[in-house]
Amino acid sequence: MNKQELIEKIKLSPLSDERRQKILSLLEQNDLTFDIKEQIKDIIQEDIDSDTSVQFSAEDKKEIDAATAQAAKELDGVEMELGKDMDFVEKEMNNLETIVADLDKTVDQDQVEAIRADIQS
Amino acid sequence: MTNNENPELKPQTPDATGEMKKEDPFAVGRERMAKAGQFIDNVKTKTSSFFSRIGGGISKFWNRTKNFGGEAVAATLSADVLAKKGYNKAENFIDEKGHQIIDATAKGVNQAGEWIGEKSEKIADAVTAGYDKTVDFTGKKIDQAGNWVEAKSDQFSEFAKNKAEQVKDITKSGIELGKDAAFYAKQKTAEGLVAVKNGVANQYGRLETFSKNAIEAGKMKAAQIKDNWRAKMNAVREARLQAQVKAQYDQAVQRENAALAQAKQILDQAAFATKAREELAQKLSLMQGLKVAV
Repeated sequence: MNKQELIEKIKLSPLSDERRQKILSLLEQNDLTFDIKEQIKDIIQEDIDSDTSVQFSAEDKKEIDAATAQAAKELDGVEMELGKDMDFVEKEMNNLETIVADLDKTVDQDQVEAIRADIQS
Repeated sequence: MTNNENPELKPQTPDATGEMKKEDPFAVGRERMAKAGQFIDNVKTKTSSFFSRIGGGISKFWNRTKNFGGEAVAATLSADVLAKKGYNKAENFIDEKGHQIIDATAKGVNQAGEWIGEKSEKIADAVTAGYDKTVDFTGKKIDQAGNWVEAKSDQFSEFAKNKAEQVKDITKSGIELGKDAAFYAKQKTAEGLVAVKNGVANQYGRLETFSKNAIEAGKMKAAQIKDNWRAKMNAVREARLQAQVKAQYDQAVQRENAALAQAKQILDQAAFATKAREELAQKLSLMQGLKVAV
């Protein structure tokens, strides 16, 4: 499905007027990027969840809670991994910053010495 | 009008009168998903800001040593060396002849021909661009036509697969860079400065690519987990709705059957009453007949 086909489907969909318009505005102003698709999915899900007519049983709630706990655990893993990656990047970037700062000082020092040598000669 | 917009069909969720609000079994999950999104956004912002800061420092140093001429090289080559090369000690420290000699020297020491004029400009620009506030941490790459295109998700699974190796390589190159920097600080040769500048540019580039890929891989993984969770939630909702519809149809059929049974009963009763009436009429007719019988 391309962007235009999606627009047509959204126009004919049973979403609320407000959410339909929100999605159409997003599509008008943006390419169909990963982030835009995620935003649209969120809006559609919001519309689905706004239907409170469904009466979930106790078993349903157990199933929902178990799936939510599993997803939360997986997200914890992703966040931990990303945190570790960024700690590594920060450490290496700080090393880089230190190296450049030291180089800068070295060049400064050398310039001062060169000028001094120049003056003295 | 959708179901949700039809007030007659929409179920009541009273709360203004103090009655218990209908429980939302998905609220906890939704909140957790939102938190994950926020976490990734925060990582992006933090990473972008320290690349800006550190890239700024690197770019400043670059600009000082960009053309590989002038003060930095003069300082690097030291006053003695410069004197031997016949520089006049002009006010600006390096005169025209000195510049020519320095440029020639720079060309001479640079075996790869990299740190000369234009190329060093490009690298300086790349580092400058790297710390530009508009730097795009969305994992986009440039296609052959020079347009930004969205990276495919397999780029990030590749990244995840090879991450340990990349971490090792980056750590190793960081150590090598440290050694090159120490060498330069001691020997102060133009060659040494070239090596360090190359190392800094490469390391910056590696770290920028690594962090962009890590963030995008994290974002995509989180999105996948969210998709899976949503699919499960919607499956539960769909199954419950289907069961609800079936129960309602069953109830309708049951009521219809009960109504039919009741109607039949009433009809049977009416048939019985009708027969009783007929029989009574016959009996009454007999009575009447007896009155006048002779």
